[in-house]
Amino acid sequence: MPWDSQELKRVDFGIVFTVSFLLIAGLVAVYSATQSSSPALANNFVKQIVWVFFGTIVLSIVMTMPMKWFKQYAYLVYLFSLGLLVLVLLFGKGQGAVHRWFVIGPIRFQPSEIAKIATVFALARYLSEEQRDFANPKDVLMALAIAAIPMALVAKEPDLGTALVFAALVLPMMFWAGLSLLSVFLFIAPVLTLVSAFSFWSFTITMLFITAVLFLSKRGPKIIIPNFLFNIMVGIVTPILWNHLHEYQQNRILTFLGLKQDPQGLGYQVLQSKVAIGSGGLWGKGWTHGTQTQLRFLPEQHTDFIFSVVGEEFGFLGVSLVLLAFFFLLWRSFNIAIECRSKFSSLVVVGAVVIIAFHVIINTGMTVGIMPVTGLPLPFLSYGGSALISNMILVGLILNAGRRRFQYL
Amino acid sequence: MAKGRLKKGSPMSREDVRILLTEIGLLLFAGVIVIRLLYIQLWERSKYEAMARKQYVLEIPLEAKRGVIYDRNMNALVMNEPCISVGLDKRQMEGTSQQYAKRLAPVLGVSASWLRNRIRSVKGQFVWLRRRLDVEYAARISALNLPGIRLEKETRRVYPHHEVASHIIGFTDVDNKGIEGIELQFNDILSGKDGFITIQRDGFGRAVPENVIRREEPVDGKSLVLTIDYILQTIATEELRHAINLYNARSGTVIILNPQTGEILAMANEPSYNPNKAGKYSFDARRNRAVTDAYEPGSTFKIVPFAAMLEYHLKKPDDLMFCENGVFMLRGRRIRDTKAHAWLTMQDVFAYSSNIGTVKMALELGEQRLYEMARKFGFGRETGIRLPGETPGILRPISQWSSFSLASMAIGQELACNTLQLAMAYAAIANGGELLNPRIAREVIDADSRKKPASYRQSLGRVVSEETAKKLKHMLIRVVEKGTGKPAKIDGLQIAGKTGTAQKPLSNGRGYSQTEFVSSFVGFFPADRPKYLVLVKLDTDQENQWGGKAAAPTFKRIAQKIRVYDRELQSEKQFTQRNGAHGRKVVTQELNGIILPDLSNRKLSAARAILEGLALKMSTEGKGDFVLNQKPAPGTRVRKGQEVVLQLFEAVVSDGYMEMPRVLGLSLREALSKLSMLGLSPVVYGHGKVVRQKPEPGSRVRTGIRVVVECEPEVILPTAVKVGYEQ
Repeated sequence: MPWDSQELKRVDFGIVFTVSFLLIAGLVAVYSATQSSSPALANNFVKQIVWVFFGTIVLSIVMTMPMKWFKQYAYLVYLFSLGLLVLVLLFGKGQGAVHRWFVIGPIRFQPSEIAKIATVFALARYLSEEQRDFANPKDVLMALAIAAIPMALVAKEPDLGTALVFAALVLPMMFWAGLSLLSVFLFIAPVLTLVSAFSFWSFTITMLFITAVLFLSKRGPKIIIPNFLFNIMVGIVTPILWNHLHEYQQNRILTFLGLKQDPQGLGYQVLQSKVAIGSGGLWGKGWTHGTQTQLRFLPEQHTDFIFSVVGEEFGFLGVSLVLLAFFFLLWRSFNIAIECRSKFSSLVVVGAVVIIAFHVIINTGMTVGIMPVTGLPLPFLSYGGSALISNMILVGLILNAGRRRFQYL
Repeated sequence: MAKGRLKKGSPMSREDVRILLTEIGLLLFAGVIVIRLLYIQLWERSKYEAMARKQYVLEIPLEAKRGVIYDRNMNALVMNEPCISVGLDKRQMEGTSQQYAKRLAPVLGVSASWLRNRIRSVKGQFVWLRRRLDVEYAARISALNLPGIRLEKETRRVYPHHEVASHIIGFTDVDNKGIEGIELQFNDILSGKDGFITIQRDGFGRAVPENVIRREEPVDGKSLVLTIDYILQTIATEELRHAINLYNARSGTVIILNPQTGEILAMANEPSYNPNKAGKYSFDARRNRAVTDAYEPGSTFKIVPFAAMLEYHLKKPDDLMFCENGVFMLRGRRIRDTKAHAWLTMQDVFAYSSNIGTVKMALELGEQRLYEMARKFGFGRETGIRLPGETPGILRPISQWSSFSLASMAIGQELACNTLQLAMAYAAIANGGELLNPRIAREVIDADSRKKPASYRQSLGRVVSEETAKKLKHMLIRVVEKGTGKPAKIDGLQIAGKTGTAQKPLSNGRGYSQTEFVSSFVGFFPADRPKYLVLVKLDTDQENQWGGKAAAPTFKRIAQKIRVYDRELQSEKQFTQRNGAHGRKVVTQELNGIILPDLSNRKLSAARAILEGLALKMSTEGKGDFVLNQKPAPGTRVRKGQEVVLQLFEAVVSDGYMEMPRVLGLSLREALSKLSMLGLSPVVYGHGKVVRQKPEPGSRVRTGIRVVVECEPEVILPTAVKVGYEQ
C-alpha cells in the first residue's frame, strides 16, 4: 500500500459483489430502455459502460486513499464544493431557468454530487471532534448550518430532490454522533407540523401529539415552551412560505399528497410507471420485451424510472432481487459503521449509507407511487455519469472504512 | 462506533437502541416497498395490464365504403367523395394550444377561440379539429408544418342533385351515419361494417406498423336501388316549385307512383333543402311532409263513401239524388255546395263534388260501413312505407264520433291522413281494388354487384271488388271530363282523378281557417290501364283554394311532362290521334304544335318511325345506329313538317377506348343517359345544365371510366308544353 502502512483488513467482497450486481443490472436495464429508440439515446448504453469503467477506477482510488486525508481536507473540500455550487448558479447549464450542470467538453457534471460527499466529510469531521456537546445549541446549529448552506444553494438551482438529500443527511449523522432521541424528535416535529399545517384538524392532532411527547419527556419549561411555540409558528408561517415556492414544486408536493390530480404531468409519469411495473407481474415480460418500455410509454425510462423497466421486464422477482441487493449493501455498510473504531470513518459510512438509502427510498417509492416525483436517480442503475461516479466514491469510502475499521486514525 | 460492540454485556445501551432503530427503519422501508410491489404486480396486475394494452394497442379503423343510392335507372342519387379530417395528437404538440389555434384558424375557416377551446376541452391525447373537409385543405394544412397534426383520408356523402329527392334520400352526420330519409332507414345496409387493424403504437402516438396484432377487413355497405325515377322526381320537384310560386302556396307535396306495383316513382315536397348543407335548413324544410304530416283530405276523401255505396249496392252511378239546391240543414247545421244543384245522378254528385249529395249518401250508409271502408282504404294507420317518421293520421273509432261526425267525415273532415295514404287509397281504385304496400326500395346490390330485390308487390287486402273499382274509375274519369277536374284534362290522354279543397282546421281546434286552405288533386292515367298516379297537394291561400284551380293544372303539367318522358304514353297518344273519339280536334291542335319526344339513345330506325308518325322531317349528323342528340330539344313544340336533326353515335366499342362525347350544355338528364349509354360512369355535381365536363370532349378515354359532370341549375321557366293546351 503506497499511502498507508498500517494493518488492513481484506476488502468486503460482499459489498463489491453486490455493487457489481447492481451495476450489471443497471446496464442490462439501460440497454433495454435505450435500444429501441432514437440514435441519440441508443449510444447511452455504451456511454454508461464507459462510466462504469471510470467509476470502478475512482472507487479503487478512493478505497486505497488514507482515511485521515479525508478528515484533514474535509473543510477544504467542503468550501470548494460550495464555491462550485455558487459558480453553477451563475454559469451553469440546464433547461430554461434551471442551473444544474457544468459542461466541460463532452462531459456534463453536477457540482451538487460533489457537494453531497463534501458535506458528509464536513459533518463527519465536525461531529467527530472531541469537544462536541449536543447540549450546546451552538454546536447543534453549526452542524445544521453545514448541511443547510449547500442545501439552500442546490434548492436555488432549483433541484428540490437533491436539496432534500442534505436535509436527510444531517439528522441521522447527528443521531449517530450521539444526539438524543428526544432531540431528534424535536427536529422532526416541525416537519410534521409543516405537513399537517394545510388542514386545521391534522394540525390540531399533530400539535396534541407533539405537546404530549414534550410533556412526557419531563424536560424543563426552558425546552418545552420554546419548542411548542416554534411548532405553532411553523404551522402559521407554512402557508405563507408555500406561496413562495415555484409552481412546479407546489404541484409536485400537491400531487405527492394526493391533493391534486395531474394525469398529464407528474401524475401521468407515476401512472405510467405503475402501469409498467404492474403489467410486469410476477415474472416480467422478458428482457427487451416490455411493451411500455420498448414503445416508450414510460417517461425518463433510462434515468429516473429505470426501476420500472426492471419491474416490467423482470417482474416482481427482478425488482425484489434489486431491492434485496440494496438492502444487503446498506446492511453490510451499516455493520462497517458499527464496527469502525474511528468516529470520523463511522460517520462517513453512515453519511454514505444515508445518501444511498435516501435515493433508493425516494426513487423506488416514486416508481410505485408512494413518494413524490423528485427527479432523484436510482443509485448504480439509473443512466447518468455524475451520479454514478458520486455513488462509486461513496462505496469506495465505505470499503475504505471497512478495511480500516480497527484503525483509530 | 466500536463503543456499541464493547458494551455487549449490558441489556440495552443507548448505542444498541440507536443501531436497532436505524435497522428497523431500513427494514420498515424495505417492507413497505415490497408490500407495495406485491400489491401492484400481483394483486392489481390485471388492471395495469389492461391499461398497458389500451395504451400500446392502436386500432386504426378501416372505413367501410358506404353504399350508393341509385334511382331505378341506376342514376346515382348520392355518392362518396374523398375528403380529409383534421386531427391533433396533443402529445406531439410543440407549442401552446393558443399558438396552434392561431395558425390553424385561418386555414380551417373557424375562429381561433373555438379551436383553442376544442383543443383544450377534449380529454385524451387525440382530438378531431374538423371532420370531412375538402381534399384541397390538405395541402394548406400540411404546409403549416405543425407537429402532431394528423390528416386522415375519409369519404363523405355528396348529394349531386341537391334539392331533388332530398326528402327521400336524407343525409348523414359527420360520422357518415344516416340521420334522415333513406340514409337513416337503411343505414345498416348502406353503412356496412368498418374493419380495423390493431397495431402497436409507441409513447409518442406513432404507429409501429410492423407489429400487426390483428386485422379485420371492412365489409363495404350494400348499395340501394330505389323505386324513384330521377327524371320523374325532377319533373315533380320543378313543377311543384313552379306551382308554389304561381299559386303563392306556402308548402306542397307531389307524389308520383305506379298504382299497379305500389312503387313510388317520385316524392317531392316544398319547402325543401339541400342535403349537402342540411345543417343550414330548418327542421320544417327537412321534413318529408308527404309522410310525416297529416291533413284533412276534404273532397278527395269522398271516394270512400262512394266506394261503400257501390260496394254495398246501395246506389248505382245513374241513380238520381236531390241536392237541395245548395243548402241542406242537418242537425241544426248548414251544409253548403259551392254551386247549387237540384237533381244529380250519383256519378255527378261525385263529378261536381256536391257536399250535400255526399252527406245524404253517408246518412244512408251509416257510421259502421263508412268507418270500415275508410279502414279498408288504409286510413288511420301507417302505409308501411320504409321512410322514417310516418304519421298514421287520425281516424277516430266510432265510439268517439259526435252526432255530426258521419256527415263531416263523408266530406273528408274530422279526420286526417298523410299524403301518401291518400295516394295509396286512389292507387287501389286504379289497380282494380287492391290496397298495396308502397315501395321505395327496389333492389339491394351487394359487394359482388349481385342484385337482390328489396321489395315485392305486396297487397294489403282487397278494398272493393273489381267491379266497384271499375265503376269508381269511370266516375273519376267523369270528374276530369266534365266535373271539377276539368283543368287537369289532357287531350289524347284519358285521366281519372278527383279534386279536393279543405280548409285548414284552426290550431285551437275550433272551426276552420278562412285564410289557409289545402288544394289537392289526385289522378291516374292512362285510365284504361293506369301506369302513373300523381297526387298534387298545395297549401294555398283563399284565392287559390279550389283543387280545380291550383292543384289540377299542376297535375296536368306534370302529366304532360310524363307523357313526353314515357314512350308508351306517346304511342297511346298516336293511337288516339288516329282512332280516338277526339281525333280530329287533336290533329288540329297538333297542327299548331307537336311536342317533340325524346329520341336520344334510340335506334335510328325507331326514331325515324316516330318522326314519320308525327309527320316531321328528319336529317342525320355523324355516323352510327343510335341517336345521341336531337335538335330541337325534346319537349319543344314543333310545326308539322319541320326538320329534326339527329346526331348519331356508334355504340360498338372496338378496342376498349372511345372518344369522350360532348355533354356540355345538355341537361343533366340528357348527359346522364348519353354517358351511361356509352358505358361511362358519370360522377355528377350539382343539377341543371352541364357546365363542365372531364375529360374534355373528344379526348380518348377508356370505356367504363368515371367521368365528372358538373352542372348548374337553370332558371325554371314555365314550360313550353303548357301553352296552347288550356281549355
